[in-house]
Amino acid sequence: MNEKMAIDELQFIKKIIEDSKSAIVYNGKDYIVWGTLVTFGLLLDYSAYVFKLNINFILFWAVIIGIGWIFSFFSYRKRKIEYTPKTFSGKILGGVWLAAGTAMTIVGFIGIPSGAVPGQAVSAVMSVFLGMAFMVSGFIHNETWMKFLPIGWWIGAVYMFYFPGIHTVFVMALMLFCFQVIPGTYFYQKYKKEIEKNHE
Amino acid sequence: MSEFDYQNLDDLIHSRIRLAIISVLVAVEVADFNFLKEKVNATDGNLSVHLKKLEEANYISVKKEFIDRKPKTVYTLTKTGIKAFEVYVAQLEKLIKK
Repeated sequence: MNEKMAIDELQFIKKIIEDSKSAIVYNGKDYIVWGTLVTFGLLLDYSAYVFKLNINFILFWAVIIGIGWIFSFFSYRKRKIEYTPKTFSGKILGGVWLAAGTAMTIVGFIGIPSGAVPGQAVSAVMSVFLGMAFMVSGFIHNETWMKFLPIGWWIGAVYMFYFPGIHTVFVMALMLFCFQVIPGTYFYQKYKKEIEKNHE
Repeated sequence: MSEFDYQNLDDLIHSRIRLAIISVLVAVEVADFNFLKEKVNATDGNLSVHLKKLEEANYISVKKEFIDRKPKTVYTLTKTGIKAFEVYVAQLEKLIKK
């Protein structure tokens, strides 16, 4: 074997690895669905307060979060059936979001009704969790811009801790849209391009 | 020295199809037969033969699992396989550096 053959061999390995990795590009659907659902919920929550609508908030949020978890469950099941390839980073990512989602659900459905977590602090607490999850995700996805998202989440959290009130619900909805739904759309577009490339 | 002692190269990996299988498994932790077949661009029979060789050398491990009540065979690189791949790549790099 000579130098040229060795270079060819390494290029072949690189091509196969890149091609295989492109098959497991993140599609961003979880960000979009969860982000849209909760943004919608927060805006409705905010409107209900402003227009003094009488709704059962616990039941309302149980439906919103329930839909999100049902989506995540079926999405996981679909991935399990269709996409067998798994990566270590994918497992970390799944674990981080499962942990963050469970923690936020506990805070929302146990912490607030029990009175241990003041309702006015909930958006700030959720922002802290989301910042943490987005930081890990940013490093795993290796997207430079994404590594700055947690800063946005945490600045928002600091603001909401210092200036609590109903307006934080609106701020949280805005943050979810900018820091979750838009990044999710970016990943979805990237995923679609990758799929098209693979079918060419 | 431009020529390389190819006898030092691992024969098992030094085959395009087996190298491709190992490279796919380096990229994704676990892959099923169909995914490997698509990425390696091989026929069922050919792929099976090479997978068997890699399995016998303990470079890959095979696991049969049921997903949605359908049987699926999934393949993973073993520690031996990872080490062999690393050594192989290091040898190629060494040759280029010369």
